[in-house]
Amino acid sequence: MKQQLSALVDGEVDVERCEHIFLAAKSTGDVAQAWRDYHVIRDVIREECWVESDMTSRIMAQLDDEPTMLAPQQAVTVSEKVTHIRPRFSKYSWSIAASVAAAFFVGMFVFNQPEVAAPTQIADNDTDQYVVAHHNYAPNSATYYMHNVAYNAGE
Amino acid sequence: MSPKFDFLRAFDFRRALLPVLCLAAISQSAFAEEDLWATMQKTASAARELNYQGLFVYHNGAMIRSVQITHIYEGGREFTRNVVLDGRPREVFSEGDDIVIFNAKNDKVVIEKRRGQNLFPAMLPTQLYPLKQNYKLKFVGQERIAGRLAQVIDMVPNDNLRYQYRIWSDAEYGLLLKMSMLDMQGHTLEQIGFNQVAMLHTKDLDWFQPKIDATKPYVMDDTTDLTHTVDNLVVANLPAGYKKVDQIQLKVPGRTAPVQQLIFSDGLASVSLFVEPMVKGMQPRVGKKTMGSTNVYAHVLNGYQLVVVGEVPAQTVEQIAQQVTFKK
Repeated sequence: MKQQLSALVDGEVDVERCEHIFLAAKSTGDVAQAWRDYHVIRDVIREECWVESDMTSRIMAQLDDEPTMLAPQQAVTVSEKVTHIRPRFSKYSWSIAASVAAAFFVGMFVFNQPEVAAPTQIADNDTDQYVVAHHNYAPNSATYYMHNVAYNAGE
Repeated sequence: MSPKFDFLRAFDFRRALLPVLCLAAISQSAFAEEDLWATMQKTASAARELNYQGLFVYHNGAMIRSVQITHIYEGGREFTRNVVLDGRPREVFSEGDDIVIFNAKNDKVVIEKRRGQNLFPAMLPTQLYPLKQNYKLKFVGQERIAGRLAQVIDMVPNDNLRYQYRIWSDAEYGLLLKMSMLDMQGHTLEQIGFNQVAMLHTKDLDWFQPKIDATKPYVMDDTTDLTHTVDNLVVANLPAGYKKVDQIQLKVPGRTAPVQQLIFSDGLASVSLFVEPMVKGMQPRVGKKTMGSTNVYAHVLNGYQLVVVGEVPAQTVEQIAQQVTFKK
């Protein structure tokens, strides 16, 4: 299984359509861990991405010892049109790296705002984080598009 | 033939016809309501099953956001990319119920994962049964939206526990072109609608990838546990028509216990109840607040901080907060 994943990440196999963007998000346990490890390795080698983890620094340290020159590849942008129906995996590598990571680290939710005593009327910012969490996880979408500007503007 | 005879004949005719006309009118309106629900069903499906690309705008008070959407339905699977064009760069990808967001924040891009949400224009649930219990439909007329002819339908709530909605459904394809939420006085609280929309005739998915900024680090958000949880929390009498649809737990940095989030819905409107144990040094929050369409009610019970948030009238969030009890 891990070998298959490695091949996939290195772009050696075709991936049908865009399933991979969410494949990682759906997978769990060892498989998901393997996905992440392979992506960190590949991303570091390509210098496309920087993910803060022990894994990264370990690989970075190892790379420093390597005599080989590694040419960084340009990041894929949307302007590069993929015309064939079954795109090569490498075109989507960013999405994969992202979604792999998404499988492990989910959501941002910080309650560390200043606490103000307000016996009958809640202070302006007092419950903002609850409102953000509501908009993030409730099946109601309209408010969704603005939450990060409306409620995190002061960050 | 005398004039008198003529008059009587005409009189009898009209008397006989009156109940028939009444019956016809009644069945006509019953038929119309069924017809409108059929339009709603078509609208709910169209957003998920059609291939389209467009630009829509979301208004909430002074807040305006433009969003570019591309949606493809292929082999029973739905792919959507939403690019928020105003404010911070933000891209939302979804495949079915899985949602991944790329959110540019200052010097980095934060990647977040979300559970299934009804993103515009797929605002209506495919199961209309809960809506039928809580709203009546009223045909308003026809209007032109984003260059398309739309049927305008009002969703009038049966009580004051939810807001009123107006929907504009494409007369030909059934796609939801616009939707607005109104308060009891008929003021628009929020509105979302296409400025421009076109059907796509391609099934290519080459657009289904984020625009990458190679100069920025990509980092993940954590702390939210999307696993469904069950505990000793009971909300005895939910406001009529509302049901619990989910319960998740949020791990908040610096807090010893996770925060429980219970989500309730009447099929369209949704309300979250947050419950966390009060610990030493935590300031209790008590009171209420209205922010546009969102109402908040905070309350302390048995050493727990309760906060209820929803796009529903103040009465509804308050009622939910007052109904919370803890099983022994």
